[in-house]
Amino acid sequence: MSIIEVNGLTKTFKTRERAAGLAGSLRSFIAPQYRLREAVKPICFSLEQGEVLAFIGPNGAGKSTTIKMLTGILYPTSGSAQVLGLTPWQQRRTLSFHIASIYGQKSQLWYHLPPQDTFNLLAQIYELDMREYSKRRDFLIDTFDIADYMRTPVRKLSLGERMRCELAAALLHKPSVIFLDEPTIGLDVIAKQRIRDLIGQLNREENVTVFLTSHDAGDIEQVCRRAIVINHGEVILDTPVARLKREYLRVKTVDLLLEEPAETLLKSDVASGEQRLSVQSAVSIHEELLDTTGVRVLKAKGHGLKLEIDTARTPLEPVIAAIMQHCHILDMTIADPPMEEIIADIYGRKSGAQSASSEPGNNVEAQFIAPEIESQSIAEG
Amino acid sequence: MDTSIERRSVIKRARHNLRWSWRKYNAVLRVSIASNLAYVYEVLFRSLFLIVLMFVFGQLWKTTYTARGESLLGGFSMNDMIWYLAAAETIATSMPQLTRRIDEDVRSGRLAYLLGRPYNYVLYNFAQYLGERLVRFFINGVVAAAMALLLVGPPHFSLAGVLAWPLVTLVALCIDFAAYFGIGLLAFWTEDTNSFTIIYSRLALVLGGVLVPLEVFPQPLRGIAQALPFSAILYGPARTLVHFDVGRFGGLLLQQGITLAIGWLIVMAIYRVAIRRVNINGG
Repeated sequence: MSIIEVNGLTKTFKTRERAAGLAGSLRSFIAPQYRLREAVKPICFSLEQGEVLAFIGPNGAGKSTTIKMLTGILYPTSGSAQVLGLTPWQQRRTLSFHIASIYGQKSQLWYHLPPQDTFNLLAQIYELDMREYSKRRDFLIDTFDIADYMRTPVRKLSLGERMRCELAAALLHKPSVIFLDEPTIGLDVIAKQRIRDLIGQLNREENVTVFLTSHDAGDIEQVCRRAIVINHGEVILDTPVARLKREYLRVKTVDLLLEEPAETLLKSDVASGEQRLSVQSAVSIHEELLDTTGVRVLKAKGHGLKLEIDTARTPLEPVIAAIMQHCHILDMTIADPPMEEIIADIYGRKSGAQSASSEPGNNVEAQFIAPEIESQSIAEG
Repeated sequence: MDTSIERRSVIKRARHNLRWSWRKYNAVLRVSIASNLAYVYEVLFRSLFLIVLMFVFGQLWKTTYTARGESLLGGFSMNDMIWYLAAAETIATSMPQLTRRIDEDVRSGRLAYLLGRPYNYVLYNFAQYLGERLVRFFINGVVAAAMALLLVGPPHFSLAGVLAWPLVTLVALCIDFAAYFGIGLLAFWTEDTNSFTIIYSRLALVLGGVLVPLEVFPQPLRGIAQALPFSAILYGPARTLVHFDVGRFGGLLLQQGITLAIGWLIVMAIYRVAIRRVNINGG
């Protein structure tokens, strides 16, 4: 049986519109005008126990609204949803004993008190047996490595430290499902990695079902096994993360700061007139040049070099290793394509698949697998 | 047979809920007190305003009593008047920014955390409010009492007044919560509840008898002010402490009980409608 079952869930917000200027303000005061905004259009999906789902999309796509409906905080406009067999907005109190939610930009910890106080309060709120609670608290303190912060007022903790405490606090009552809304937002690389590792560990060791929304492709790649992409309130893709990585996250942007001028690594391509990366392979013993067919030079100025690497054609590691062999790298950033680009790519493939299907004799399934079929394969796997 | 088992299980469940409810809101109250004690010097500093206020009113009353050449005004001596002012101001100035907090919770989206927990949102807020208010109340009380002692010497309270005062004050704080929380819930409809808060607090200040006992008010203003709920929050408890009277005490308790019951019913009705209108920002 599915842990989460969503059928045609929608949410429409009514917002008041105001025209600019004094006249507009007066007009809106006398005759207010409202606009209906469909934050979530009918969406359907299900989630099995122990799944780790990335629910992704750009700003205003409807991710948080969906989470808030599934945790019972928002009433939907239409449709139905079951979380652990309960209707969230009708049985919110019962459901809250079995789920946890973390909102990256908001805190549940009491700001002026040490996390320990919020932990003790949550033990009472979730009606935990004190002996069980002590054991669970010690286990989480140990797992999340937060012993040093338990007696420090929350306002004095860094964002990364606070986030670990937030996660531990949310898990005190052993929830079956955990909703994470942008859990790594604003964190540095190390803190992000720590949070991702902890979510993964939690899923493996306690078989917790994870429903994660994020803008960060790194969260999705490293934590999740399945991804649902939502845009303008609609599910536009439901696929295993492996496929998402293969098809939509394969191009990485590498920004390097080198000890030597970037020009020393480049060669002009006579045919195209473009500059190309020209370095010897780090693994070859015959001083062969590295195959850089998937590498495009975006910018080369002074000691700075910006590359776009299609990892399907040229893996990332040999390129970095070859550059490192040639000169020292002072700083490096590897970025995934922005969410907007991924969305555009999905739409591009979709319309490509549709136009191909309209031509007789073509099989769409081979190019674009329907979300339902993808979901099934994950559930079985 | 089945009915008796059913009844026993209902009683058992009710007992369980009651026990845990008490533990939950008691824990919230304690955490709220601890959180506010973290800034005890700030609260103490804020209460310094009371020193200025009591000094100014002390001088004004002194002039008034001397000018009129009477030792009693509306049945209050100079000593009673200053101790009345101290008692009423302690309640009035201890009000935390409850409406602003609810406003902020709705606007920032923190409501998502607060609503997704196994407790009653109204009672959770009440326990948090009470913790915050009690800290302010005690600190303001100490400052106001010290000032009154300095201005007019020890009070002439009766033992019955001293014993009755905590009860009527606690009920007054509950009524104040219902009023401000009800205003705070308007954040689900309007973008800013500040204007409503200002109107309510100014009305309470003028008609509640904070600066002057209602006995000094001319008629028909006195009758109107006495009938309004503000007098049950400020005038009633302060008068109970300074001029205890069994008959008036009984009347005050009845007025407070009715005001609290109506206020609570209104709050719960607004809450039930508001909760279906939640429109959390940032999602």
